[in-house]
Amino acid sequence: MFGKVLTLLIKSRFSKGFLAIIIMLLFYSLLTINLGLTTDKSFAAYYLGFFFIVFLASAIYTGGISTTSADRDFLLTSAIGNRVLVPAFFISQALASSLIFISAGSASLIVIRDNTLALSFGIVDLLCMAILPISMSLNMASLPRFVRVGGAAISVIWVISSFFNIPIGPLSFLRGQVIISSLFLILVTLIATVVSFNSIKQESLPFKLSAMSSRNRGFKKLFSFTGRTPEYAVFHLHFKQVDFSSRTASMGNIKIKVNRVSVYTILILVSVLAVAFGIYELFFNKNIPTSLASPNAFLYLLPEAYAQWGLAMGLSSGTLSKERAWLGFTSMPIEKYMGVTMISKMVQTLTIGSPFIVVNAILAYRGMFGAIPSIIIFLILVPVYSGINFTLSFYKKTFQIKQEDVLPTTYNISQFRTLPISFTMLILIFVALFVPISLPFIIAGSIGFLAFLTLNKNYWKRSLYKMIENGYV
Amino acid sequence: MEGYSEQSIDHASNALTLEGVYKSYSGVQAVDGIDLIIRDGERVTLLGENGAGKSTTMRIISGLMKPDRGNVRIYGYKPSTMEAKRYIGYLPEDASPYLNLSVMENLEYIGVIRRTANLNDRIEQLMDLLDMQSMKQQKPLSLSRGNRQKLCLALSIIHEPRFAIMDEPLNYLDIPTQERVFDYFNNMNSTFLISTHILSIAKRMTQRIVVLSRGRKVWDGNLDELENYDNSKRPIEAIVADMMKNVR
Repeated sequence: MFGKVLTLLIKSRFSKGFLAIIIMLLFYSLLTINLGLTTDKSFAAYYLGFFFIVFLASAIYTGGISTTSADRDFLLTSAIGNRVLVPAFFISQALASSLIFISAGSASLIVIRDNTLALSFGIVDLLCMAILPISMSLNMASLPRFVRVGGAAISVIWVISSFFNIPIGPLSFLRGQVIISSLFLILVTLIATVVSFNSIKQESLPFKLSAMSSRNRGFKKLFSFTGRTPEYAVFHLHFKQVDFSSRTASMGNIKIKVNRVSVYTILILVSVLAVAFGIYELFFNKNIPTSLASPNAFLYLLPEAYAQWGLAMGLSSGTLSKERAWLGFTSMPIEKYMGVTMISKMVQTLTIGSPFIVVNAILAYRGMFGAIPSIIIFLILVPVYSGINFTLSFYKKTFQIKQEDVLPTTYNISQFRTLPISFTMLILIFVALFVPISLPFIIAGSIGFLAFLTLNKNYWKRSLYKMIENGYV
Repeated sequence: MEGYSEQSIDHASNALTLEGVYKSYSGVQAVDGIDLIIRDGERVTLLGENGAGKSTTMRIISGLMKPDRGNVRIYGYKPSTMEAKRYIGYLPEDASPYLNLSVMENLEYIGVIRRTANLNDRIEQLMDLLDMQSMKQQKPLSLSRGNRQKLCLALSIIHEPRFAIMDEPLNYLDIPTQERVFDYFNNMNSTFLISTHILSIAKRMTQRIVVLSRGRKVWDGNLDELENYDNSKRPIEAIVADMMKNVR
């Protein structure tokens, strides 16, 4: 029975698209780490640390094992004991999540490939890092939000501690402190996993899986539509609310959350990050790169480039999952509705990126290489790429959020047909940062591409008709 | 084809004109040459088995799908134009509101972009009608399925559309609400095109029945004609089932 349940769960979670992502991530990480290691030996640890933070913190915060409505209606109500269900759910989710993490992170072990002992521990550490987020997400799932936020914050501090020569940091094994770092990580993973099994083995498993988080009945006041023009109402809705890409894809399974966050909340968070970045660069960094030839230029511009790309992609990807064609597109011509929505997303991206414009202006004064192109990129290119990504998200097979915490589909390859263009945008940001003379041409080309897509009325209509045929109503 | 004969086409005075409409997708001929005229103020039910093409036809009429061939006009206008959009109110089957907006925000947002006159009064009227006054600040996901359907119904008629296109509008509604909605619809001066599987709803809300099967129109007439279709005194459900079977 266990084998059958596990096979069923794995089949419902995996698809060709999912495997394609794993392979793509593996190639991507190999390329990035080899490139990064040419400028800094710590790059592999930074890279793995970034991924571990994303996986661990998001798992602790969002929490839980993803179940489909079919799981809940049929599997959890069937005569199968929790002794079978608990490990099956755990293993299927751990497998899906681990494969993504390992494909993204394994290339980091390149840096310790000559040290057999470190490499052996490294492989075990990587497996622990893949499993720990799942265990922690189960342990934290039914706790109040402030506890989960606290847990996520502690996990971030723990990971970052690796870079301050603290031996129990999970990445310290990549920085020479193999034994203590590895033993501590293994111990934490073991305890967390045992506790997580214990937490869901009881009779209440179905309830734990189907109602992982408490739900408020109302929203905080955010919008005011009355008295506005129709166009301003559309702008107001899409500017004021930040639509994060609305699923926790990093966990392997697709977990949907219908959250709404004010643009101003995100602006405050980004401002704190920008100030921290500025303070570090101005007061603590003795080696600010002043030219492309500086040995650490790549390392210092890398976070800027990813922040710019991530901002454009992150703010523009989730919008359509919350839209309703039967309401919006039957009230206003599609090209007008989408045009206003796209502009609102571009203005929102510019607003949220603005603290980094200010910080880069100060860094430019300090003579940091890339700061001036960075200002122009935040000012023009990032909003334009937000617009392009939003426009393209209308073309790919968009999923819609109709119920919370439901897996609408496994990864579908057609959802990723715009990935080549997304990665082209990342490469262009890199080129613009490192070769400033290329910036005007890249900006002109990007604006031209956006205009080509959006000034064509038929683009919106054709895309809408295709989406409706795929079930987007 | 029995029942209604097609009249000479006067696009502007007809609420809906469909001429030779075809649509296929996902390898299925969903709509296979439908002709249909609905006069202003007329109330029509679309009947048909699952997959008969009712929902696709409604999506084409509401401008969300483009037919492969054929002509569609709403009061003389193409469905994708602003002029046509002003006339229609569309409710799809299993509709979902904006989940990131509260009940009240949903109504305000759609009311504003539909340019609804006296919006606040209109919202109050709909909330009273649907018995939702206490739910105005709630998230749609905290509502029961029935209350979510009420919200969707309110959103589709907030602007008092001249032509309401509704796919299973009374799904999930409790009986008292159904009764209030029947009364309200019967007092509206709108044209109605409703899709349902329940003949008692068709009888109470509309005068004319159009039966679709496998994307084709197989009957078009009024209820009396349908009940006396073959003078067999059989229940109307059996007559309709036979019509659909004969197309296979």
